[in-house]
Amino acid sequence: MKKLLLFQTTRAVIRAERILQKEGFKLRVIPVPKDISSECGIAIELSEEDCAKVVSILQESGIVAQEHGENPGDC
Amino acid sequence: MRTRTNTYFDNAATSFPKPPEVAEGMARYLNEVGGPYGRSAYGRVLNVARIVEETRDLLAQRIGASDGDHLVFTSNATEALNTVLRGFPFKDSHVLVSPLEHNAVMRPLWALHTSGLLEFDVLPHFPDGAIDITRMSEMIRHNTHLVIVNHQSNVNGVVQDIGRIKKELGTIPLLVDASQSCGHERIDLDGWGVDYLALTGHKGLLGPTGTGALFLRDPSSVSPFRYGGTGSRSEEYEMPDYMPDRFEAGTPNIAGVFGLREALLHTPEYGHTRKEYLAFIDRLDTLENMSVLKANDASRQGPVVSIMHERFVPSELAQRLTSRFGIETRAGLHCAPLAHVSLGTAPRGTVRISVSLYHTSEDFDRVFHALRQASQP
Repeated sequence: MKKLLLFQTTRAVIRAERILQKEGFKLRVIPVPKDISSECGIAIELSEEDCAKVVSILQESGIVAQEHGENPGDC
Repeated sequence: MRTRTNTYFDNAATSFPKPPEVAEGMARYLNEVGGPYGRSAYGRVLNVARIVEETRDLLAQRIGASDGDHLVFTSNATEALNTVLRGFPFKDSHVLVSPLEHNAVMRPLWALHTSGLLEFDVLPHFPDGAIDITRMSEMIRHNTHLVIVNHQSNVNGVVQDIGRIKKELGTIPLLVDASQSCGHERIDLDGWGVDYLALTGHKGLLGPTGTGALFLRDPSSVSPFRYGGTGSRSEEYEMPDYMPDRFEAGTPNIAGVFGLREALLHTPEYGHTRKEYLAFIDRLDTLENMSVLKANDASRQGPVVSIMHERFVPSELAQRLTSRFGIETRAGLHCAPLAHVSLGTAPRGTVRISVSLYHTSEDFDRVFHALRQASQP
């Protein structure tokens, strides 16, 4: 299953993309689906397994990411 | 692009020439890349966002700021300075300024003064305008809420010791105007503990006009100057409180940022040595009927000096240099009347010679000989 990571700013998305690609994660930067209330129009999509790992990696770099999936909070 | 004869000595106004990659970068955005920043999620937008954020990080790195989130793009240093001065919560405040401030600081400060929000005083200084740091504490009052220091004078090139000044100030916030120094002088923003720093892209950094930036260590200490769309939290009328969106309403100068990125990545080698530049100033000092306004301590001399002629007013001397020798300088007050008052050159002003890192010692020779001839009756 895929999950989404939501961010407050465009800068946060771009920084997260750069960090996660460097760490070897497979991801896609996509528009935030209409049914999700987001603070930024761009989100990062990645696998559920990876989602659990990346939030803490991003936190270490001062990036706040909120996960969103079929079962939010599972990560 | 180093021209064979570089006669342009007005680099403190705006630098020329630029690395050729600057124009190429801007053209690439305008002709090929296109698209907005952070307003959608298609590929073109992402490409723009990646370049803008890379440029922000390059710039943060250049000024010694570890947190690029706190660096916001502005249209120039004047806007950056206004953002702090118009957004700072002044009330019954006392502000201290360096003796060499530009009107980018003095005009907004004067407007705040006439509104009754603050009083200001000039910091104690030496004859060349260098701040007498040992006497600064005499000027500090219980309501001294902000200190403003021009890092490098646009009149005589004096470079202030920001690290020592901030150390002396302690917790009193310090706003640094790095318009002239950025690109020429080392800036250690985190190491010095600077609270706010304004810079421009089109002078020492050799980037395009219309680019600038502001660093805010505590963004919540200043209200936004511009309000508007940020592409984030669009459902709310209130400006976002997170960075950098809090201070970046409206579409940024994307073409300019593309050019600035190239300037940061392609800084050319100096065409002259520090020794050659200082020797040039020493030679200017030997000219008859001329006096040179410079730093008393050569180690604190930036790439700007001013000259005064005993007989010719600055505009006349500058015109002689241009019409007879093609050498472009700037005459007058250089938008820094306080600096000229502090240096004793108001209201007449000076002729300013501001060099570029592209200049060679041969270019310095040309100016020296032109000045020698132009100063004859």
